[in-house]
Amino acid sequence: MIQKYANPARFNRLAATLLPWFAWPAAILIFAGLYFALFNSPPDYQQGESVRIMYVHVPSAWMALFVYTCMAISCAVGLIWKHPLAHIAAQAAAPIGACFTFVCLMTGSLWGKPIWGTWWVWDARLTSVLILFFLYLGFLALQNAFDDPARGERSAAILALVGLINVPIIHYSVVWWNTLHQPASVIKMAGPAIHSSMLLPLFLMAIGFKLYFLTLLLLRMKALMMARRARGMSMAQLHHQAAE
Amino acid sequence: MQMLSEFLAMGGYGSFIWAAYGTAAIVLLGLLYLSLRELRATGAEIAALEANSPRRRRMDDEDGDEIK
Repeated sequence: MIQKYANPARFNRLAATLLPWFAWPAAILIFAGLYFALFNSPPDYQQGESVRIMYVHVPSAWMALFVYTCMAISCAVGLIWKHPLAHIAAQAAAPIGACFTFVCLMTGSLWGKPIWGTWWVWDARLTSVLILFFLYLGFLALQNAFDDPARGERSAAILALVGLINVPIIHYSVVWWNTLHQPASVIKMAGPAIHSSMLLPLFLMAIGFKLYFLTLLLLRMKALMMARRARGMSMAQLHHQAAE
Repeated sequence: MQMLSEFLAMGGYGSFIWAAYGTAAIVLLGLLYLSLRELRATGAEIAALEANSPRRRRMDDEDGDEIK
């Protein structure tokens, strides 16, 4: 069943069918989310209007972790079952995850300055997210560090799997260590601790970001598969020229 | 006019909020732009390779005329 989509032509057909179903809802949900985030949600009773940064910061943070987890699973599938699309998916996801992590760090910094009085602290949460960012960059660098793309793929996949340990560390960092960062207020056992007028834009943005990720993922996977095909074709032409 | 400047000021947090939203927009839309550009460039590369592929050239030779 999965093997079927390893065929580039089949993948392209599937991607072409799925793309509009990801891209349009992503645009609509993000615009709706922005409307509620900026115009139609209350200021926080402690943080005032600055709480509006949450609507980009928290969804980006979720995406940073979600994309990394997807990437690591994909790498595991690539290493164990040697599925050809798995490494391509991981390779396509890494820059997207790095961008979301960067946005998370930047918006967090811009939120920290007015509320905590500092752009940055070296506490567990912030440091572990910074490490996540470097894991993404390391993954991308390692992938291109070998002449043989297959070796680069394998080494990068192993790095991604080792780095997966960082994901639960990020999640629990606010519980295990003292920090300025506030604890989770949405995903908890007793239900969310924030008001529905703030949850609505948060969820619209979160689902919008997820669909935006899928849109970018399909586009990037398509480009990577085409690049592979181009490499194969130019090799074949070189061989042909050498034979002539 | 005053409503607009009040909205942009965001209770004094305006510069932080707009910088945060601006960064997110630039980074996330920038990645979309780069991805689409890469896709187009690779498509053009494949088209160029296909145009002078050995198989096509051999076929041209057999026919004795060029396919443009």
